[in-house]
Amino acid sequence: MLAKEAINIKGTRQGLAILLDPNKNFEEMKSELIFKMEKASGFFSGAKFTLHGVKNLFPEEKSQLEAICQEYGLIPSTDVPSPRERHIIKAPESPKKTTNVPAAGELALLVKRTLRSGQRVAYEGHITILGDVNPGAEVVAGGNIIIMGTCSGFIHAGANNNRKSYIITIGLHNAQIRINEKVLFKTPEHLHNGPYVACIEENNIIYYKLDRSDR
Amino acid sequence: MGEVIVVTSGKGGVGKTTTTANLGAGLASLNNRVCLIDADIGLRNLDVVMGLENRIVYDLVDVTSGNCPYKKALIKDKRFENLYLLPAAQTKDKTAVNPDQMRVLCDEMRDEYDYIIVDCPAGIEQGFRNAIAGANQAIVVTTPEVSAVRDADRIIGLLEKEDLREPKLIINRMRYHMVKHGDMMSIDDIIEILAVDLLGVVPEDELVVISTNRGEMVVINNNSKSGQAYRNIVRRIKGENVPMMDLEDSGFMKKLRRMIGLK
Repeated sequence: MLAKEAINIKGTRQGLAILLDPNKNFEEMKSELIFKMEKASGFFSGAKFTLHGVKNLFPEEKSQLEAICQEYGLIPSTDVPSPRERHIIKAPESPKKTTNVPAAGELALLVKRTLRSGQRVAYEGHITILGDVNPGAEVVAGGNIIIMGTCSGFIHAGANNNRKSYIITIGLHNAQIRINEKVLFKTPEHLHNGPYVACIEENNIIYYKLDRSDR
Repeated sequence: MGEVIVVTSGKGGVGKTTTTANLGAGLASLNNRVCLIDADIGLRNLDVVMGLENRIVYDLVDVTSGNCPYKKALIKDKRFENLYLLPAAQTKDKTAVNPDQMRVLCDEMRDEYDYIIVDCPAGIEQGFRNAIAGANQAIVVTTPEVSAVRDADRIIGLLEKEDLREPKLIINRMRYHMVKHGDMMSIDDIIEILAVDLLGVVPEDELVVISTNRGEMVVINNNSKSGQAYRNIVRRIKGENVPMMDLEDSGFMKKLRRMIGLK
């Protein structure tokens, strides 16, 4: 079998088992997955899939891979088993008609941990972080960013030339905020008990405390 | 099976080597078999701090490259029967060893010792990767300065990536009067940023410098606060539940307590 590849896609009765080689790094996996999906040109569309061999990946890396699969029309599932080594590879069945497919919303990535200095999360859609963004960490999103914690790092929303993006964070402490191409170099120290919203208004980044009685 | 603990910090000069030496001596004084490995190849210090530099014959690179068995390279400590040092090479650099060799070495030594403590070099490059390769536990040392805490945060992230989860934190060189005046980060500030378990706080103490210069360890000095702090940390490593030392009380009350044996 093609053991040297970072990604192996195998068809089973229940759907597609996508086997990741844990010895490969995440970037290799990601690029190869996109390559294979591109090559299949919609062939997998509508099939259920499960990622196998994700033990070494960070949760947001796993969700990035899943998001890529979903972009190509695959449906995430938890119960496609990993085929045994000698299992004969069958050609994936032609896409079955699936009912109750959720309407495709906007892409979003959920990061369930604190980002420490030197760690970076980049994603083309929206990003939600359940934790803090510590000094020296980076978050870059094509869409909006929501941080359920204190933000002291570098955050860039609307990186895909989207001036209407915004950032919501519970706390702000010496962060650098960018929205589209605008930069706010320093936010005040110790802003707790938010949520605070940062967005572009009249060509500048402004931030204010979200007051729920407003709306 | 012994524990392999790496002492690391990212930033230099926060007290990794001093901590390694004191924890080693403290654990050895409680009748554990302890071996210290100096992984700071090219800038070796641990032997100097322990006062053993003129006894070095073979070093870490000799062992990993197969020139001699590790037992031949070990130096026995002057004071403790069951404390050994594997010194670093001074004439080589970090690339003389690779992580796989360190892993093999640590696994080999694990059967012989209760605790193997690896003194990690500053930085996050090859030396760091070597030092953490064989470890199954990590202690992160920091001082109450923004730069040191920032580096500690980075190191904790890298340790998690290498599957050394839940590292323990030692805050070194704490000056309580400065914290009181708001001139230094407090313990709570540091814990809020790093979000890891605190193993202990070592106060700033001139005795550390004095004993280091003499090649002694402050942990065996019963009259120093920093020695007491290290002894507490050692007991916590052993799994005891030791309350955090109240470092703020000093003067008369402290003397009184010591007199009636409450220390």
